[in-house]
Amino acid sequence: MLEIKVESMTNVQPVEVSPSGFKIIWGELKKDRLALGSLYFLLILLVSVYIASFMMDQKALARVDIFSIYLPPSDTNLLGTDYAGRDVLGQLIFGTSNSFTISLCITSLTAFIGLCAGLIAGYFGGFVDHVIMRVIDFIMSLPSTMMIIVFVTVVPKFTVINFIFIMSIFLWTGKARLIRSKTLAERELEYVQASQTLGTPHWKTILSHILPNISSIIIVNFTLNLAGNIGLETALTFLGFGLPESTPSLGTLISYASNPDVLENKWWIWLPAAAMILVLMLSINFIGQALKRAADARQRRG
Amino acid sequence: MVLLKIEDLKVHFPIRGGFFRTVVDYVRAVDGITFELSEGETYGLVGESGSGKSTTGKAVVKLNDVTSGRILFEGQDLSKLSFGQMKPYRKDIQMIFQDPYSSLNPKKRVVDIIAEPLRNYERLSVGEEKKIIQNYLDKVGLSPDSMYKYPHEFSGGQRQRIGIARALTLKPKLIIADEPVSALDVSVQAQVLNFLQDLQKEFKITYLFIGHDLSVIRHMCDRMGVMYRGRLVEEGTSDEIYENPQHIYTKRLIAAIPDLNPESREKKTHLRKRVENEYKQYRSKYFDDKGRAYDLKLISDTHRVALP
Amino acid sequence: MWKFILRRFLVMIPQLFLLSLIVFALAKQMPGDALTGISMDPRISPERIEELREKAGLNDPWYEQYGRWISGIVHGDFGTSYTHKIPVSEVIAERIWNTVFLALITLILTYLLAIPMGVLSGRYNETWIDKVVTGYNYLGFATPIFIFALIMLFVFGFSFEWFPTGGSVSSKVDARTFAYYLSKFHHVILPAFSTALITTVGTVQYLRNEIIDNKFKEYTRTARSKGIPDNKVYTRHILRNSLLPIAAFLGYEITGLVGGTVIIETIFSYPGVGQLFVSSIGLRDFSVVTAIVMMLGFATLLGTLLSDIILSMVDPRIRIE
Ligand SMILES: Nc1ncnc2c1ncn2[C@@H]1O[C@H](COP(=O)(O)OP(=O)(O)O)[C@@H](O)[C@H]1O
Ligand SMILES: [Mg+2]
Repeated sequence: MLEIKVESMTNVQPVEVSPSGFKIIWGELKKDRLALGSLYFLLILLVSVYIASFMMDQKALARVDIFSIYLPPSDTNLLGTDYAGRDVLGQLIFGTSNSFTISLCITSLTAFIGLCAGLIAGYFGGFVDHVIMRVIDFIMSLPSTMMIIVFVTVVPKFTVINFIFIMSIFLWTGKARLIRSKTLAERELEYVQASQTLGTPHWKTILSHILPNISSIIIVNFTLNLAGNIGLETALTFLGFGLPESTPSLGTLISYASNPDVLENKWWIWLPAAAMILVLMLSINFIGQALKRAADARQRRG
Repeated sequence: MVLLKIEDLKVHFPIRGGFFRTVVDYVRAVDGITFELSEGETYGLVGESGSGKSTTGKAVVKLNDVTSGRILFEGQDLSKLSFGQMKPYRKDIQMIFQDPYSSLNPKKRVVDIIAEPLRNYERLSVGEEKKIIQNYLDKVGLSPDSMYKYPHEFSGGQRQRIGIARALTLKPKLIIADEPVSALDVSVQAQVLNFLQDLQKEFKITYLFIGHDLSVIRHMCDRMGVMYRGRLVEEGTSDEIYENPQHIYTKRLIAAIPDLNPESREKKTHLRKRVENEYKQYRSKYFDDKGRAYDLKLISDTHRVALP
Repeated sequence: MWKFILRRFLVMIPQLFLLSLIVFALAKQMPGDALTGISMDPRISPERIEELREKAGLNDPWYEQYGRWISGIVHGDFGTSYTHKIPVSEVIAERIWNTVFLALITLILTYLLAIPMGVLSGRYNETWIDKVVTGYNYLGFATPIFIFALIMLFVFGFSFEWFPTGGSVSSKVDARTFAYYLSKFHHVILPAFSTALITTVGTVQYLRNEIIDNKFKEYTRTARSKGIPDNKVYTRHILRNSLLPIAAFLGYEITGLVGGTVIIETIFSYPGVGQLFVSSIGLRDFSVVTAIVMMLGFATLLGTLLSDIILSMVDPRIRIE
């Protein structure tokens, strides 16, 4: 796979390395104005979206009103209405919170599976590693978009939870690979062997020694994946194979644009949602790339 | 009394290759060695890099799987135990590692590093634990406020002392020291070595001391074994090996020690040339047709050499 | 080397087998089978249907059904489409060339965009041109294809009307004329360009890093010291060395495109296999769905195989495993 390395060659001054992963990352992030701005922006956006969606009445929003179909933006409907006369702004707010929450769930679940598989494969090596790697190779060589779509169609009872599981089946592999290779490298260091000779059980060596040493990579990877999953979820919903209708997503609003008339003449329905996805993904990516640079720089420094 | 007895130990690492990644050959890292350590003594293992010294040491603490042979610790065979079954014995056998940088977890504070073995074996209150750690920090010559620092705040020599303190907390009977000073500055080496000797007196520790520097080994050890390609080629008291080497490989090793004294330097060059000639001439006499060293034969009460 | 290729092929056989098993299991999960259409018919008695089922082998154990299914596929027989009433292979054959054409143009555009951008930003790294390219990469990396494609369609298809907004060829031209091919090209260019603009960023980044690495290598300095002009050093030496690993990613690139066809073809209403897949799912025409998954799964496996082999030629270290 192509590894995306966006890094500038600016020299990093050797900074006192304080070994708490979060502290270092925060320290590096503070120096990057774009990333810091993105973080603040994202926090404000998400907090207001969640509060707003909490206060709004979802039922009222879903009510069809045939007298106000396709209204352009006005004082009562700041972003107009859709084909059933529902308020677009309200759907945008719900969609944002749903899309973000679900992507966060998918990212967490895949992070958990990938972490377990990667740590076990990398730490124990040998046969276990071989089996896990073959499974990963296989899943990675499947056409995942299509597989997800087929799974979504054949699953007997399609719910949000099922959707999260189906996505996760195909999305944990890259993570597992990355974590395995880092674990392999870490395992060769003598402190791991030392821990074994001190009578520490394997699970404890893995959790208390190896995990903290690969934490910054995990955080970076989590952030970048979160952005990617928002894109993937909305794309699938856009195609009609993502979130069920009871849980509107940003992709739902954009999918109205498959009607050429909406795409061409009723921009207020789909464009705000598209912009929202772009803004979310961009700001999360800016944060993730800054974290990545920080982690790389730290590795260079040793 | 014999504390550790190693009998015909073999550690072979498989090399995989071919179509189905089957085992095509083995790296015979340790290929049939036998020696024993008496309580309270320091036994040295010397040999060039790659001769299998570390593998031997790691086999004793189960960091490597044993292919065949026995490792008897106080009469109990460790070689067949699983990782979990080994736990009670780890209290008695500890290891000091070569690299003071990678052998301490960079993300842990000194207090957590030293307390790791204690927390595995004993239930102590925070206060008791703190007292014990302070005691050992004092023993290895580090100030009490080092406790809450991280490894990167220390020098190489200090880090090695932290590693030593960690190995001491369980009051082991045997310590395997795998080149404990070879990564340190020469100026610090002697300090750490003397310190290891002081500890031995105080805690009655037995050392299996691994090294490639013959002069360090001689300074430290009562007896030593010379390893070459996974085999012992000679074994005896330090004086016997140093003053009266019998095997051509031992002779070369000794001839290779740099001489700091300018007067005898010429003599040394001379000796080196002679040994080199002898080695070229008689090499085949010391090894069998596969280039493997012969089994050890006694030539005096304490001196064994691999001769045909 | 040959051993590696052979082993890599051997690995693919169980993968292919597993893929077919999964697809078969999924197909069994899909509602309806070859007789669903008939069983709705009230004139045919349930006994008669049961008889037909028995005859069609639908009551056999699954492994026998699987055996028949897979041997059919090997012979190019994917069954009959339930909506089109013609063999699935024919339904797909109508669309497949559109998809291949789109993929090919996308690949060409991807490299056409990546090479100048990568070379310029690598050669003049830390200058304004590098900053522009890097900034573009930032944006491209964070933009999902379907949104970008939608905006492109909105702007260049609907607003400016420079490109058609659906189909693969205009109905006004006769087949096999120059105008026909021109029209095909006109239809493919917007979807291909939209995809390429986004997917190219990975290659650009990689190329840039390769060029920067190669810039300071021994052979570059030797070439320069011989008085070879800078331009030539870049085109003859550095680029050639840097392109090799890029070529290796071709297979993965194809794998990525296979995934992308579903989205791109749907957005541009482009009648390829991806759009056929989505519409067949909507129409519950599962024999077509199964065939497409099997086929594109095979293409994905082949793509990965291709890249693995080229990579192992370029970099022998990868061969272990
Ligand atoms: N885990 C392993 N797998 C394969 N070969 C190994 C492994 N560990 C050590 N070896 C090989 O065994 C031989 C002896 O290594 P080692 O015991 O580390 O030597 P020494 O400590 O004397 O320098 C070397 O050739 C080394 O490459
Ligand atoms: Mg060693």
